[in-house]
Amino acid sequence: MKQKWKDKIIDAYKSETPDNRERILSACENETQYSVCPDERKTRKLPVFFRRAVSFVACLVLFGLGLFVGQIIPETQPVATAETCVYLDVNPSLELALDKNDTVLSCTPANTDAETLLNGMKLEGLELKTALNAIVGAMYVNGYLSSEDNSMLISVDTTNENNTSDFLSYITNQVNEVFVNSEMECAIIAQAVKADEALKQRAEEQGISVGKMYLLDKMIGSMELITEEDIAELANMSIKDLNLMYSAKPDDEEEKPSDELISGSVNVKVGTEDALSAVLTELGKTEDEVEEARIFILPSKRGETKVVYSVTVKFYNDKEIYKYEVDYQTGELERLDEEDGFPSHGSERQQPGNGFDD
Amino acid sequence: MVIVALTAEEIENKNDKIEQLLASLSTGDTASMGRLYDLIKTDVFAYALSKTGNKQDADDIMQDTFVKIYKYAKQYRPKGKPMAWIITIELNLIRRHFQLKARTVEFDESFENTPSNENFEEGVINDAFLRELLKALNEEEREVVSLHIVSGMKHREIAKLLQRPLSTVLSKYNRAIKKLQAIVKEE
Repeated sequence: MKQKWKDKIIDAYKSETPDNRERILSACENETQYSVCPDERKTRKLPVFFRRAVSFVACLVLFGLGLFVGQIIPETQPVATAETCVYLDVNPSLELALDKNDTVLSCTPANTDAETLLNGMKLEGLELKTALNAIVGAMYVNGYLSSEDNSMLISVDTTNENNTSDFLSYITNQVNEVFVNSEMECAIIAQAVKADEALKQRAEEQGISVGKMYLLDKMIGSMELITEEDIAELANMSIKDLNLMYSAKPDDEEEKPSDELISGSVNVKVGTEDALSAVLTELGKTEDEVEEARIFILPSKRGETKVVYSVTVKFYNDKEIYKYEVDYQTGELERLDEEDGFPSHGSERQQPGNGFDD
Repeated sequence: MVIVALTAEEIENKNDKIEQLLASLSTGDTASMGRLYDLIKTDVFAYALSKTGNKQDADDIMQDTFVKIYKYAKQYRPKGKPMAWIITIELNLIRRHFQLKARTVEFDESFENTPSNENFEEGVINDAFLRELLKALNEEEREVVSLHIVSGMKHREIAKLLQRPLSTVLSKYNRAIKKLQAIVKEE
């Protein structure tokens, strides 16, 4: 019975497939065979070590450039009005104020890590592109960004809303330009924000940046398993953890928002499939025995400020529902005691649920 | 005619055969092209149909895909997953097709009136079911169903191919099979 509908699908496609054998063979005869596909001819990669070395040196140069240019720019800047504010959160959090030409008017550290990072760098008067190169290069050189921790939150508050989407793309590309010669790619959430007084106040209360606060608000608004009560715990979480949770949101049928751009993927040692495999191994089961499984990336319920894979599994011929938390860094798992069925959300927005019925 | 869904072992054998044929093809053995066509024509057509929802377009894409496979067979490096390579070629052609047409997917009316099977009665039955399937599922659901059920690709392979999270692929597959099971039950 289980195979019946699958066979029916294959049968339907097979009977519908036109017989173009002779036409295709004839078309092939007129073609020349190539040994290299034009689409894949473009680049010949250098050895990994060399690329990393080049990347590191490039970052040093950019960092040095930022310092040097900063020194020769006069302290006094003409008074100008900021049209755009760009908030960067990695762990260092800082704010760049830009004029209408995207020239840096000011660069303000929002925490002590950013103060350390920006020490001696004077970015005022630089183009956004140059300033970004210097900042991101410095983050890389100082170890705030690495292949293991590659997450960044970029928040843009601008009075010029006509080209927000393009601006998010531009700034995302500029960040990744820094790593163009390395294997690294940043996992970036770029978002347009409206930094009104209420948002600023909430951010101040939690001791976090406006951009991070805005992201948390979006998470609470769109992910039903995350509520306002979690805000303090979420505020303490790294951008990497938040990025993991937010970017794992399932695609829904709605259009993608133009005020948000999610690119790259967060580097984790344990993937969702590994998490499920770990649970199945623990229980001595196979994928074929799984009637239903759901995997969420959620804050741990075990009192630790971190996110984990929350794995809920039900097997055929077994009424029990098994719930585990799996650490995405180590793969360690812990069984949860509660057995109140599958998470229920009322909507499918927060359901990266996995159904393994075959 | 009854066609049974492939088992994992059969899929592996099929992949081995495809790789052997691609290897033969790369040495200039053009006769391999016919055997390759017979082996994967349904996979290639089903994927094109799932993406375009239009039989004529799928037919064109199928031809272009086979021609490109022939042209670049020497470029294939055996990794045990030849369908991923083939579907990537096909997907690029589909994208170009949509770029050229710059239109949204609409089901072609001609689909209803062109049963291609010689056995007309069976062809009509399949047409009706396939038409229902194509209309019941959205493009992404059709894509995952085609790749998993017809081509036998694993969910992880599909996720990698489509650059989607595994959970997204599984979620779409899950939704699709629920709809399909309902269709089968209704009949």
